Amino acid sequence: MRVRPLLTNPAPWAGVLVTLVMIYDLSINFPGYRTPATWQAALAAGGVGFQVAAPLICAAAAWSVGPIERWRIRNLLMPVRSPLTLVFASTWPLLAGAALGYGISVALIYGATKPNWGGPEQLLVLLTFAAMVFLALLTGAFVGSHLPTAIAVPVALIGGYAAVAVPLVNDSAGIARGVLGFGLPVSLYSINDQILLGALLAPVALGLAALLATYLGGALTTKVRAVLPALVLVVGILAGGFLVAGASVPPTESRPAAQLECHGASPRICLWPELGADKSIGALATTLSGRLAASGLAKPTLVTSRPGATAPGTVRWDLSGTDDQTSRTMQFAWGYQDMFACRQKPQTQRQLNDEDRAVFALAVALGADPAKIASAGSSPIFDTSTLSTVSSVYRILNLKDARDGFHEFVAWTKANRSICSN
Amino acid sequence: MSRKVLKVAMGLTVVAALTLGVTTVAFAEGQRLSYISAWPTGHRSGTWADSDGDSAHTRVLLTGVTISADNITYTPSSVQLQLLKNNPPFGYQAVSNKTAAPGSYQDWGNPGSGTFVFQYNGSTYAGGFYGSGSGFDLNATHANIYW
Repeated sequence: MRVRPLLTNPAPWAGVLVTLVMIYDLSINFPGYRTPATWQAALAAGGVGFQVAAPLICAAAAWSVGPIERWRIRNLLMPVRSPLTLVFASTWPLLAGAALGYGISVALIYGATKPNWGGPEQLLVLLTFAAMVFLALLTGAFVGSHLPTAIAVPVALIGGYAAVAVPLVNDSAGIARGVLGFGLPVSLYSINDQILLGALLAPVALGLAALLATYLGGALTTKVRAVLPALVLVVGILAGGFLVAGASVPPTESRPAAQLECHGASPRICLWPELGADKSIGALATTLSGRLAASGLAKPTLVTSRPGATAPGTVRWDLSGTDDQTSRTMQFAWGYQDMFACRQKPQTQRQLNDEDRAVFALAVALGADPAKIASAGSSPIFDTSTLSTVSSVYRILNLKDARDGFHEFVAWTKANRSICSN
Repeated sequence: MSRKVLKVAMGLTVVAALTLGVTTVAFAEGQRLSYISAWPTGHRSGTWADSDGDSAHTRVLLTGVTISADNITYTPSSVQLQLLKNNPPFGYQAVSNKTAAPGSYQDWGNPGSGTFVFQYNGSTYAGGFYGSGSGFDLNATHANIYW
């Protein structure tokens, strides 16, 4: 095997390395490849590998492009003059490696979460990641063309790593984090949230500025070549900073009510489109509401995915999109209990435990599998040493049978009035 | 450039790539019962690893809460905590803040699987927020984590 070509242009093997690193990084950041079941969450999390791949791309591009003297030789051999053409001609395996790593990452997440379609606006994150990769590539090419390779490669690698890591670990560098975009893959934790539009567009502004600056650097005459590209970059940085100014960490917001898809009347069921696409979810809401009414409890008037809905009779149904039937029933019970609970009122540990006991009893009465909802992490009322059987769960919840859960819940609503009236 | 220098640069690249990873941890569901003594703002809890294998919310319950500075002690009306998730190899990134009265749960819903900590951001007393730079530390007779 001839080694020299691999040393002159490391892009082919570095592209493979980029792919492998991206998949490995995904596996340690998203165990089981699970994310909230939206396309935006899947596409954003799929880019977590760019956090470690970007410095590699930057360094490998610096190595592949090489000093500017080498460019002149290539220009003599090939009738091309555009710096963009020259950069991409030698570094395209890096882009291919990044695209492959990202594609595999998204496929792994899709296999684990199977998000339903939520609208084309959720694809914008693809453009954001493309801009981030181009920025890393062009920055590396710039460093590589202006420094000896032995210096340029470590500078690009360490500088690239610092550009990712410093804003990520330093909360006071929120604007730099937002403009560079590397916080986006770890920003979505709930199907109820979406990434701020400005946070998606800021890296695009910077990436476009880098592309334009590189093009202008080759197309302009020597008099303005040094000034105009720099000016374009400054405009790109300022535009990006403006777009993310004031954004929270992580840069997300609640999804607007306009995205909800509603149907039915009693109760009215309003779900995110990803949840509404699964007809069994809406049907379960109708079934559970019917069971409540049949037991003598008030039937909800609205069942909604949206947090913050506080109208009387509203059940806030907090689903992730990957829940099983028991989890959905448990979340429904939590949302129903919210109609009665006064969670902001301080309570004793005993009152909190009674509140937990009531909601688990209600979930069991509604059809949740006791063995699945009772775990050490569910509530202080459950102790792993006592959770060996369904009967032991019934004993903790003071239930004779599943239907007894309705009575336990009604008893709690009466006792709870004293907490709310405090 | 000499071939030797190129080999060194290549070695640097590979070593950097390999050292960016971290070892994985064992994940489970569970609870931890503890207390808090003189935490300044920004102080973080111990870690816990959530496999997201159940429908449990991630919750923290603080009871017996006071904030103190020098010889002054107040009982706050609410406490703000921030949940953070490990993002190897860069460390913990914010999930979201929650504010709750002592004796009620700070509830983050289901933030998925991973390794988590919570951070103390500040407390509210008599309408004022005692956060970073206030000099007030947090105490709680019980600080229980459920995940």
